[in-house]
Amino acid sequence: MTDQEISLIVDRVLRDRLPAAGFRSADVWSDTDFDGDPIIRVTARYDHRPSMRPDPLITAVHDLRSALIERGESRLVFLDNEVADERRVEEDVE
Amino acid sequence: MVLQMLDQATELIERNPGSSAAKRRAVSGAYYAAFHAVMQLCADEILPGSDAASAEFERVYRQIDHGPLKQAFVSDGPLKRNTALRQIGDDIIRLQDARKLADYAPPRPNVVTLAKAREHVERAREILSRLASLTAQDRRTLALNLLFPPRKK
Repeated sequence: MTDQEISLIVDRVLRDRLPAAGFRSADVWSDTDFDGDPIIRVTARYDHRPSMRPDPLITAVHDLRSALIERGESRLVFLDNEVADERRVEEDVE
Repeated sequence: MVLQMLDQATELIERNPGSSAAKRRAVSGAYYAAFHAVMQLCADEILPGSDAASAEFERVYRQIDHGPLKQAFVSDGPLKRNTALRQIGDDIIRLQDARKLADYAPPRPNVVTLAKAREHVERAREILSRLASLTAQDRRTLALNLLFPPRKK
């Protein structure tokens, strides 16, 4: 699948799954992992992180993967989250 | 032991949120906690009730290596077809990748952000939780496929 096709599915799944988190947008791009194997990277942006456990922002990756496998896309998804109300600029001291 | 490893990883992050070294150690520790949990499950399946200090137990426990672990989960087979096992695999591969970055990336600030470090520790806790909820059949499938990968044709 193309990044654009994947992006449509990612937007739909995250918007439907996490209404309480205030999903804003997601960037999707094809990349490789540390070993050079092909993966799909997703950076999702939200207003809030729900306080429930397990953290639905982390486990959302499983819904993304299932939706993509249904469409024949078998690459692993590496999902990162940016949450507006917890964003802090903290440059490492070292 | 694995819960202590994760608690220590959390403590390391929260006490040193601006320390690159602390966050990198925490991510590495989170992966190894999950890895130990997988090895424990496999050894318990093959040698139920066995003395963990025995040579036999250690031989099984140490049978799994990091590369073959990843390969077992990404290859077409039961670990990919079974949703519960695939989710464990997806999480541990993601954590393994983060561990490599944390352990091997050159020294520079923010290789691991605070938010990512916290998420990786939570991901490791989630792996432990998923391992604990596996059915007996899924535990057996996981152990057999990690310890005895199918022969290449």
